[in-house]
Amino acid sequence: MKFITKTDLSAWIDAQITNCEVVAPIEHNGHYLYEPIQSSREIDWSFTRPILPVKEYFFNPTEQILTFTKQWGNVTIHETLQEDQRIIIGVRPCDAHGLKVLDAMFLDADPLDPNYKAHRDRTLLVGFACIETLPTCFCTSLGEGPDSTDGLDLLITPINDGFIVEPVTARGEGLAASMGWVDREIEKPAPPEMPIIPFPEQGAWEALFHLPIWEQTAERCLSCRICAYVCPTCRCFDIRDELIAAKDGKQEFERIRVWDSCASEAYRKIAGGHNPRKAKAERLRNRFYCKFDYFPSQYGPLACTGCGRCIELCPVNIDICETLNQLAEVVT
Amino acid sequence: MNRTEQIQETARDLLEREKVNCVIGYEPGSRGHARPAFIYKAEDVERLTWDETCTHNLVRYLLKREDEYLAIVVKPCDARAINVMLAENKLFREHIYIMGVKCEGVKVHGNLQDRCQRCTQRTPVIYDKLIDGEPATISYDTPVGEIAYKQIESLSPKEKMEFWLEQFDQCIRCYACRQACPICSCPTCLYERDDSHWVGIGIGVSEKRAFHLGRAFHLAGRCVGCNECQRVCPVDLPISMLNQKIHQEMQNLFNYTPGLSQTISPLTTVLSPEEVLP
Repeated sequence: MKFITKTDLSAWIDAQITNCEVVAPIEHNGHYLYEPIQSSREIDWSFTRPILPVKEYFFNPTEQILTFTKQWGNVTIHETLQEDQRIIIGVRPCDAHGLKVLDAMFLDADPLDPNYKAHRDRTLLVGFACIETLPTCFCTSLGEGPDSTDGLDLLITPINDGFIVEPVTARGEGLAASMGWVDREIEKPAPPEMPIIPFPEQGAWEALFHLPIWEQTAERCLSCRICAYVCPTCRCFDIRDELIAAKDGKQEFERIRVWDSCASEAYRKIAGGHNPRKAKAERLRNRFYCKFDYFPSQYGPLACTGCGRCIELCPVNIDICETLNQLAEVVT
Repeated sequence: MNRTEQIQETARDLLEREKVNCVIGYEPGSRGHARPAFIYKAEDVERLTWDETCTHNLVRYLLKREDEYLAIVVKPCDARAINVMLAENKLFREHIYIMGVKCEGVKVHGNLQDRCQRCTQRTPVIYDKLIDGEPATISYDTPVGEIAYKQIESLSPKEKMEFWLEQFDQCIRCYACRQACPICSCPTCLYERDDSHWVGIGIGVSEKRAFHLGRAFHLAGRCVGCNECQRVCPVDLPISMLNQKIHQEMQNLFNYTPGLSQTISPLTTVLSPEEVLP
C-alpha cells in the first residue's frame, strides 16, 4: 500500500497551497470548521467531525448566481461562475456521501445546476477515514462506512506513524503522483463499528403520515435552522435580487441564493400569506419525509448520510435516531 | 421528597384538578441530557424529571399560547424572564402556574454554566409553588467566560471590532439564539422581514453583524442573562457577552436588573396618554 509520513504529507499540502486554494479542518472556539488555510501547520490532525459539512463549499450559504445592471431601460445580465481550482483536505466519508446525494439532484436531474457543477468540477476531494467515531455517528446504517471512498478523489487513512494513501479517481491518481509516498506492506486498520439504526422502507412511509409522534416530537422544536444548515444533504434555498450599487441612473443588482430550512416558520409561506406547513409538526414531518421518502422517490438516494450532526447540535434533543427507531417499531 | 418527585406530584395534582391543560417541564433526553417535555395527562407525569442538565429556558414555550392554562418549571433565571414578559403584557399571570425550582446551577457536558458561576439568586423571584431540596454540592470557580469578558473589555475599539467580526464571520444565521430566547418575541423579526431594507437575506458578515448587534440592543434592559442564546449556538459564539456588556451599562446608568420585578426596561419608551396618536 502507499504510505506517506506526516512530514511528507504536510510538505505536499504546503506545495499545493502555492498553486491553489486549500481548505482543511481547523479548530475554532473548541470545534472544527473547514476553512481555507495558508499553511499545513494550521491543520489539527486529530480533528473529529467539523460542525459544517463540506456542502458549504458546493452549495454555498450565499451564492451569487448572476449580476444585472439596469440603465435607461436596458438590462444586461452576467452569469457568475467560479473556476479556480481548489482542494479540500480531510473530507469525512459521510460528507462525500452527502455530495453524491446532492449530485443526484443538482447534476443528474434536469435542470443541471451550473453553479453547483462549477464548484464540483473545480474541487478535488481528499478524504480522511474515521478511525474513531462519535456517539452520534450512524453512517453504516445508511449504506456507507467510516472508510468509504464513494465520492472522494483520494482517501487518506491515519495509522500509527503516518498515513495510507488510496487514490479513488483519475484525479486522485494525479494528486497521489505528486505525493512522496513509499510502497509498504501494511494492513488497513478495521473501521470502527457503530450501532445500526432501523428505519422504515420507502414504501412504508405513507402509513406513518398521521402518527401523533410528529406533533409530540415537534412540540419542543424551536424552529431554528441548525438541523438543515449542518446537514450534508439539505439543499433548500431562497432567492432574492438585492441592490449592490446605484449611481448616475445606473443600478446594479445581484441575484443571490441563500440557504433555507424547513424548520423555519416562513419556510412554506407564499404570496398572500398562506402557509401550507404552518405547524411545527408539519415541518418536522417534512424533514423526515424529505430524507426517506420524497427525495429517494424523486432522485434515487436517501437524503441522510448518518453523520449525526443534527443530533449533536439540536438544542432540544430532537434525535433522528430515536425517531427512526420509534417509526421502525410502528412498521414492524 | 426530592425535586423530581415534588414536580411530578404538583403536576399530577394540577392536571387531575384540571387547573392547567399542560405542564411544561423537563424529561430525560435520548443522549443523557434533559430536554423540554409537555405533559397533558396525569398518568404521564412520571416522565418529568429534575437534574443538573435542565438547562433550557422553558419560558419560550409559554409564548403564543396565551389562551391556554399552563404550568411551567422554572429556574431563577427563567423566572426573571416570566417577569419581563408579564411586564410587557406578553403573558397572563392568571393563566400560568409557576413551579419555581431552587437551583444551584446547571451543566452542559459536565461543565457548570458561566451564568451559574456568577448567579447570586438561587430562589426564583416569582412562583406559585417552590420546589426545594437538598442543596447540590457544586464548586464555583472563576468563570471561564468572565476571564474572556475582561480580556475583550481591555481591547481597543479597533481590536474589539476585529474580534467580533471574526466571531460573526463564523455565524451561520441559523437563528437558534433568537429562537431559544424567551424575550425575543416579535411576531416577525426585523431581520427576517421580506421587505426589510435594513438587512439583506444573505448569510454574509455584514448581515450577521447587523443581526447580532441589533439583537443585543433589542434585548437591552430585557435580557435576563439565562445565556440560552450562547448554549444553543452551533458554532459556540460568545454572543451573550454582548448582552452582558449592555447589562453592565444598564447597571451603571440605572442600577437596573431586568426581571427582578414586573417593570419594563427603563430604556423602553412609553408614550404618555397625550402623546398617543388618536
